[in-house]
Amino acid sequence: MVYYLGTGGTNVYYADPWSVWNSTGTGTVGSVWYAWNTLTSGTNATANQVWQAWQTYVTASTIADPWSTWNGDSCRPELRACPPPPPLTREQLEARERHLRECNARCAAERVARQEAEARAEALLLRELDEHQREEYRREKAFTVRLPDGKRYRIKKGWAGNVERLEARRIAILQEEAPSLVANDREYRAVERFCIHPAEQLPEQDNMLAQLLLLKANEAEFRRIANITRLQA
Amino acid sequence: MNQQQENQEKGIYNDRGETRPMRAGDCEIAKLDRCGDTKTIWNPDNEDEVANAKRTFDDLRKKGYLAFRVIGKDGDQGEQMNEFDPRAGRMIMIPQMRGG
Repeated sequence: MVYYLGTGGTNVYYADPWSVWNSTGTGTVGSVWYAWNTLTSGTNATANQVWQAWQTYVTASTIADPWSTWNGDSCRPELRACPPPPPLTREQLEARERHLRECNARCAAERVARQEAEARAEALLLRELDEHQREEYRREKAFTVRLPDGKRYRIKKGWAGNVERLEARRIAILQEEAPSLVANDREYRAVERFCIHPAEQLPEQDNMLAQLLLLKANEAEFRRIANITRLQA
Repeated sequence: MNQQQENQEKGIYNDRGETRPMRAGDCEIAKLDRCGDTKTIWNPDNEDEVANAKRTFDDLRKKGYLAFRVIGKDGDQGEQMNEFDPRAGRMIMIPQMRGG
Protein backbone atom coordinates (compact mmCIF):
# COMPACT_ATOMS: atom_id res chain seq x y z
CA MET A 1 0.00 0.00 0.00
CA VAL A 2 1.41 3.38 -0.97
CA TYR A 3 0.15 6.42 0.82
CA TYR A 4 0.31 9.53 -1.22
CA LEU A 5 0.42 12.36 1.19
CA GLY A 6 0.63 15.37 -1.01
CA THR A 7 0.96 16.71 -4.45
CA GLY A 8 4.52 17.83 -4.43
CA GLY A 9 7.46 18.87 -2.38
CA THR A 10 10.14 16.93 -0.47
CA ASN A 11 7.77 15.25 1.98
CA VAL A 12 6.08 13.29 -0.78
CA TYR A 13 9.25 11.46 -1.71
CA TYR A 14 9.96 10.21 1.81
CA ALA A 15 6.40 8.99 2.37
CA ASP A 16 5.92 7.34 -1.02
CA PRO A 17 8.67 4.79 -1.84
CA TRP A 18 7.40 3.89 -5.30
CA SER A 19 7.28 7.49 -6.22
CA VAL A 20 10.79 7.94 -4.91
CA TRP A 21 12.12 5.01 -6.93
CA ASN A 22 10.18 5.69 -10.05
CA SER A 23 10.04 9.41 -10.34
CA THR A 24 11.70 11.16 -13.23
CA GLY A 25 11.84 14.28 -11.21
CA THR A 26 14.85 16.39 -10.96
CA GLY A 27 15.34 15.95 -7.23
CA THR A 28 18.54 13.93 -6.85
CA VAL A 29 17.75 12.32 -3.47
CA GLY A 30 14.30 11.22 -4.51
CA SER A 31 14.92 10.00 -8.02
CA VAL A 32 16.65 6.69 -7.34
CA TRP A 33 15.46 4.77 -10.40
CA TYR A 34 15.97 7.79 -12.50
CA ALA A 35 19.53 8.11 -11.28
CA TRP A 36 20.31 4.45 -11.97
CA ASN A 37 18.79 4.30 -15.38
CA THR A 38 19.22 7.64 -16.98
CA LEU A 39 22.01 8.94 -19.07
CA THR A 40 22.46 12.42 -17.88
CA SER A 41 25.11 14.89 -18.48
CA GLY A 42 26.61 17.65 -16.52
CA THR A 43 29.16 17.61 -13.74
CA ASN A 44 26.70 17.42 -10.88
CA ALA A 45 24.82 14.42 -12.33
CA THR A 46 27.71 12.01 -12.93
CA ALA A 47 27.66 10.56 -9.41
CA ASN A 48 24.14 9.36 -10.05
CA GLN A 49 24.82 7.59 -13.35
CA VAL A 50 25.31 4.21 -11.74
CA TRP A 51 23.88 2.04 -14.51
CA GLN A 52 25.72 3.97 -17.11
CA ALA A 53 29.00 3.62 -15.22
CA TRP A 54 28.60 -0.15 -14.88
CA GLN A 55 27.84 -0.95 -18.46
CA THR A 56 29.64 1.65 -20.49
CA TYR A 57 33.20 1.65 -21.66
CA VAL A 58 34.49 4.95 -20.47
CA THR A 59 38.03 5.66 -21.44
CA ALA A 60 38.42 8.63 -19.23
CA SER A 61 37.24 7.01 -16.03
CA THR A 62 38.69 3.76 -14.70
CA ILE A 63 37.08 3.81 -11.27
CA ALA A 64 33.59 4.25 -12.63
CA ASP A 65 33.96 1.50 -15.21
CA PRO A 66 34.04 -1.78 -13.24
CA TRP A 67 32.51 -3.96 -15.95
CA SER A 68 35.28 -3.20 -18.37
CA THR A 69 37.87 -3.77 -15.70
CA TRP A 70 36.43 -7.12 -14.69
CA ASN A 71 36.01 -8.18 -18.25
CA GLY A 72 39.66 -7.76 -19.18
CA ASP A 73 39.13 -4.82 -21.43
CA SER A 74 40.81 -2.48 -19.07
CA CYS A 75 43.08 0.36 -19.90
CA ARG A 76 45.19 -0.64 -16.87
CA PRO A 77 47.32 -3.53 -18.19
CA GLU A 78 49.19 -3.86 -14.88
CA LEU A 79 46.05 -5.39 -13.40
CA ARG A 80 46.00 -8.15 -16.02
CA ALA A 81 49.70 -8.89 -16.20
CA CYS A 82 50.17 -10.91 -13.02
CA PRO A 83 53.57 -12.63 -13.07
CA PRO A 84 53.50 -16.44 -12.65
CA PRO A 85 54.22 -17.58 -9.10
CA PRO A 86 57.78 -18.66 -8.43
CA PRO A 87 58.31 -22.45 -8.34
CA LEU A 88 58.08 -24.02 -4.90
CA THR A 89 61.28 -25.00 -3.19
CA ARG A 90 61.89 -28.61 -2.22
CA GLU A 91 61.17 -27.76 1.42
CA GLN A 92 57.90 -26.10 0.48
CA LEU A 93 56.86 -29.09 -1.62
CA GLU A 94 57.65 -31.46 1.23
CA ALA A 95 55.76 -29.27 3.69
CA ARG A 96 52.76 -29.21 1.37
CA GLU A 97 52.78 -32.98 0.98
CA ARG A 98 53.16 -33.45 4.71
CA HIS A 99 50.24 -31.11 5.33
CA LEU A 100 48.08 -33.00 2.82
CA ARG A 101 48.99 -36.35 4.41
CA GLU A 102 48.09 -35.02 7.86
CA CYS A 103 44.77 -33.63 6.59
CA ASN A 104 43.88 -36.92 4.91
CA ALA A 105 44.79 -38.90 8.03
CA ARG A 106 42.75 -36.58 10.23
CA CYS A 107 39.73 -36.79 7.90
CA ALA A 108 39.98 -40.60 7.81
CA ALA A 109 40.20 -40.78 11.61
CA GLU A 110 37.19 -38.48 11.99
CA ARG A 111 35.22 -40.58 9.50
CA VAL A 112 36.01 -43.77 11.41
CA ALA A 113 35.13 -42.12 14.74
CA ARG A 114 31.82 -40.90 13.31
CA GLN A 115 30.97 -44.34 11.95
CA GLU A 116 31.83 -45.93 15.29
CA ALA A 117 29.69 -43.38 17.13
CA GLU A 118 26.73 -44.03 14.82
CA ALA A 119 27.09 -47.79 15.22
CA ARG A 120 27.21 -47.41 18.99
CA ALA A 121 24.21 -45.06 19.02
CA GLU A 122 22.23 -47.40 16.78
CA ALA A 123 22.98 -50.37 19.05
CA LEU A 124 21.71 -48.42 22.07
CA LEU A 125 18.60 -47.30 20.21
CA LEU A 126 17.77 -50.82 19.03
CA ARG A 127 18.19 -52.05 22.60
CA GLU A 128 15.40 -49.68 23.72
CA LEU A 129 12.96 -50.55 20.94
CA ASP A 130 10.54 -53.46 20.99
CA GLU A 131 10.59 -56.13 18.30
CA HIS A 132 8.01 -54.39 16.12
CA GLN A 133 9.84 -51.05 16.30
CA ARG A 134 13.18 -52.70 15.58
CA GLU A 135 11.71 -54.27 12.47
CA GLU A 136 10.25 -50.92 11.40
CA TYR A 137 13.58 -49.21 11.97
CA ARG A 138 15.53 -51.78 9.98
CA ARG A 139 13.02 -51.52 7.13
CA GLU A 140 12.26 -47.80 7.05
CA LYS A 141 14.76 -46.04 9.35
CA ALA A 142 11.73 -44.90 11.36
CA PHE A 143 9.48 -46.33 14.07
CA THR A 144 6.09 -45.70 15.64
CA VAL A 145 5.57 -44.85 19.31
CA ARG A 146 2.20 -45.72 20.84
CA LEU A 147 1.48 -43.86 24.07
CA PRO A 148 -0.78 -45.33 26.77
CA ASP A 149 -3.58 -42.90 25.85
CA GLY A 150 -3.61 -44.23 22.30
CA LYS A 151 -1.73 -41.36 20.63
CA ARG A 152 0.73 -42.36 17.95
CA TYR A 153 3.94 -40.63 17.01
CA ARG A 154 6.40 -41.47 14.29
CA ILE A 155 10.11 -40.85 14.76
CA LYS A 156 12.15 -40.84 11.57
CA LYS A 157 15.93 -40.93 11.27
CA GLY A 158 17.06 -37.33 11.26
CA TRP A 159 17.94 -34.39 13.42
CA ALA A 160 15.17 -31.78 13.21
CA GLY A 161 11.54 -31.92 12.13
CA ASN A 162 11.73 -35.71 12.15
CA VAL A 163 8.88 -36.45 14.59
CA GLU A 164 5.23 -36.52 13.54
CA ARG A 165 1.97 -37.19 15.34
CA LEU A 166 -0.28 -39.56 13.46
CA GLU A 167 -4.05 -39.80 13.33
CA ALA A 168 -6.12 -42.53 11.80
CA ARG A 169 -7.58 -41.72 8.44
CA ARG A 170 -11.34 -41.33 8.32
CA ILE A 171 -11.65 -44.50 6.27
CA ALA A 172 -9.81 -46.46 8.96
CA ILE A 173 -12.22 -45.23 11.63
CA LEU A 174 -15.19 -46.24 9.50
CA GLN A 175 -13.67 -49.68 9.11
CA GLU A 176 -13.48 -50.37 12.82
CA GLU A 177 -16.44 -52.69 12.55
CA ALA A 178 -14.62 -54.81 10.03
CA PRO A 179 -11.57 -56.08 11.91
CA SER A 180 -9.95 -57.64 8.90
CA LEU A 181 -9.78 -54.17 7.32
CA VAL A 182 -8.60 -52.32 10.39
CA ALA A 183 -5.80 -49.97 9.58
CA ASN A 184 -2.18 -50.76 10.07
CA ASP A 185 0.41 -48.02 10.61
CA ARG A 186 0.45 -47.06 6.97
CA GLU A 187 -3.16 -45.95 7.11
CA TYR A 188 -2.37 -43.21 9.58
CA ARG A 189 -1.57 -39.72 8.41
CA ALA A 190 0.69 -37.10 9.96
CA VAL A 191 -1.21 -34.17 11.46
CA GLU A 192 1.61 -32.42 13.31
CA ARG A 193 5.36 -32.20 12.86
CA PHE A 194 7.76 -31.50 15.75
CA CYS A 195 11.15 -29.88 15.65
CA ILE A 196 13.01 -30.81 18.83
CA HIS A 197 16.51 -32.12 19.41
CA PRO A 198 19.32 -32.15 21.99
CA ALA A 199 21.20 -28.90 22.49
CA GLU A 200 24.48 -30.55 21.54
CA GLN A 201 25.39 -32.48 18.42
CA LEU A 202 24.92 -36.25 18.69
CA PRO A 203 24.57 -39.09 16.20
CA GLU A 204 21.07 -39.09 14.69
CA GLN A 205 20.21 -42.40 16.35
CA ASP A 206 20.95 -40.82 19.75
CA ASN A 207 18.68 -37.96 18.79
CA MET A 208 15.89 -40.43 18.01
CA LEU A 209 16.43 -42.14 21.37
CA ALA A 210 16.33 -38.81 23.24
CA GLN A 211 13.10 -37.90 21.46
CA LEU A 212 11.61 -41.31 22.27
CA LEU A 213 12.51 -41.12 25.97
CA LEU A 214 11.15 -37.61 26.49
CA LEU A 215 8.00 -38.36 24.52
CA LYS A 216 7.22 -41.48 26.53
CA ALA A 217 8.06 -39.99 29.91
CA ASN A 218 6.64 -36.51 29.50
CA GLU A 219 4.61 -35.84 26.37
CA ALA A 220 3.49 -32.42 27.65
CA GLU A 221 7.10 -31.31 28.12
CA PHE A 222 8.01 -32.68 24.70
CA ARG A 223 5.24 -30.59 23.12
CA ARG A 224 6.15 -27.53 25.19
CA ILE A 225 9.76 -27.53 24.00
CA ALA A 226 9.14 -28.48 20.38
CA ASN A 227 8.31 -26.17 17.55
CA ILE A 228 5.09 -27.62 16.19
CA THR A 229 3.90 -27.40 12.60
CA ARG A 230 0.29 -28.33 11.94
CA LEU A 231 0.04 -30.21 8.71
CA GLN A 232 -2.80 -29.91 6.21
CA ALA A 233 -5.70 -32.29 6.73
CA MET B 1 52.94 -43.20 33.52
CA ASN B 2 51.23 -43.97 30.23
CA GLN B 3 47.59 -43.18 29.37
CA GLN B 4 46.37 -46.69 30.21
CA GLN B 5 47.97 -46.61 33.66
CA GLU B 6 46.69 -43.11 34.24
CA ASN B 7 43.16 -44.21 33.36
CA GLN B 8 43.43 -47.23 35.68
CA GLU B 9 44.40 -44.88 38.50
CA LYS B 10 41.22 -42.91 37.85
CA GLY B 11 39.12 -46.04 37.59
CA ILE B 12 38.68 -45.55 33.85
CA TYR B 13 39.04 -48.62 31.70
CA ASN B 14 38.72 -47.41 28.12
CA ASP B 15 39.35 -44.34 25.98
CA ARG B 16 35.70 -43.25 26.25
CA GLY B 17 36.18 -42.74 29.97
CA GLU B 18 33.99 -45.67 30.99
CA THR B 19 34.56 -47.09 34.43
CA ARG B 20 34.56 -50.84 33.81
CA PRO B 21 32.76 -53.60 31.91
CA MET B 22 29.22 -54.57 32.97
CA ARG B 23 28.69 -57.53 35.32
CA ALA B 24 25.51 -59.25 36.50
CA GLY B 25 23.62 -57.14 39.06
CA ASP B 26 25.33 -53.93 38.03
CA CYS B 27 23.53 -50.67 37.35
CA GLU B 28 24.38 -48.34 34.52
CA ILE B 29 24.08 -44.74 33.34
CA ALA B 30 24.45 -44.29 29.58
CA LYS B 31 25.19 -40.64 28.81
CA LEU B 32 24.45 -39.75 25.19
CA ASP B 33 27.36 -37.89 23.60
CA ARG B 34 29.30 -37.36 20.38
CA CYS B 35 30.85 -40.84 20.51
CA GLY B 36 27.43 -42.50 20.85
CA ASP B 37 27.27 -42.95 24.59
CA THR B 38 29.54 -43.24 27.59
CA LYS B 39 28.61 -45.64 30.36
CA THR B 40 29.11 -45.34 34.08
CA ILE B 41 28.70 -48.73 35.74
CA TRP B 42 28.39 -49.47 39.43
CA ASN B 43 27.64 -52.24 41.81
CA PRO B 44 24.85 -51.00 44.12
CA ASP B 45 26.57 -52.70 47.06
CA ASN B 46 29.90 -50.99 46.44
CA GLU B 47 29.89 -47.63 48.23
CA ASP B 48 32.76 -46.14 46.25
CA GLU B 49 31.17 -47.00 42.93
CA VAL B 50 27.78 -45.73 44.09
CA ALA B 51 29.38 -42.43 45.18
CA ASN B 52 31.12 -42.11 41.83
CA ALA B 53 27.88 -42.82 39.94
CA LYS B 54 25.98 -40.30 42.05
CA ARG B 55 28.64 -37.68 41.36
CA THR B 56 28.33 -38.37 37.62
CA PHE B 57 24.53 -38.14 37.82
CA ASP B 58 24.57 -34.88 39.78
CA ASP B 59 27.20 -33.30 37.52
CA LEU B 60 25.19 -34.10 34.42
CA ARG B 61 21.96 -32.85 35.98
CA LYS B 62 23.69 -29.56 36.76
CA LYS B 63 24.64 -29.31 33.10
CA GLY B 64 20.96 -29.67 32.16
CA TYR B 65 20.94 -33.35 31.25
CA LEU B 66 17.65 -35.20 31.67
CA ALA B 67 17.69 -38.67 33.24
CA PHE B 68 15.34 -41.52 32.35
CA ARG B 69 15.04 -44.90 33.97
CA VAL B 70 14.75 -47.54 31.27
CA ILE B 71 11.99 -49.73 32.60
CA GLY B 72 9.99 -51.05 29.71
CA LYS B 73 9.27 -51.15 26.06
CA ASP B 74 6.91 -49.41 23.69
CA GLY B 75 3.68 -48.12 25.23
CA ASP B 76 4.98 -48.16 28.79
CA GLN B 77 5.22 -44.86 30.56
CA GLY B 78 8.91 -44.04 30.82
CA GLU B 79 10.13 -42.54 34.06
CA GLN B 80 12.05 -39.29 34.27
CA MET B 81 14.34 -39.07 37.31
CA ASN B 82 15.39 -35.97 39.19
CA GLU B 83 17.24 -37.70 42.03
CA PHE B 84 19.90 -40.38 41.85
CA ASP B 85 18.70 -43.86 42.78
CA PRO B 86 21.59 -46.28 43.40
CA ARG B 87 19.32 -49.20 42.53
CA ALA B 88 17.81 -47.65 39.42
CA GLY B 89 19.01 -50.41 37.14
CA ARG B 90 19.60 -48.80 33.79
CA MET B 91 19.39 -45.08 33.15
CA ILE B 92 19.92 -43.00 30.05
CA MET B 93 20.88 -39.35 30.34
CA ILE B 94 20.26 -37.02 27.43
CA PRO B 95 21.45 -33.45 26.88
CA GLN B 96 18.96 -30.64 27.38
CA MET B 97 16.39 -30.59 24.57
CA ARG B 98 15.45 -27.53 22.59
CA GLY B 99 13.06 -26.60 19.80
CA GLY B 100 14.52 -26.52 16.31
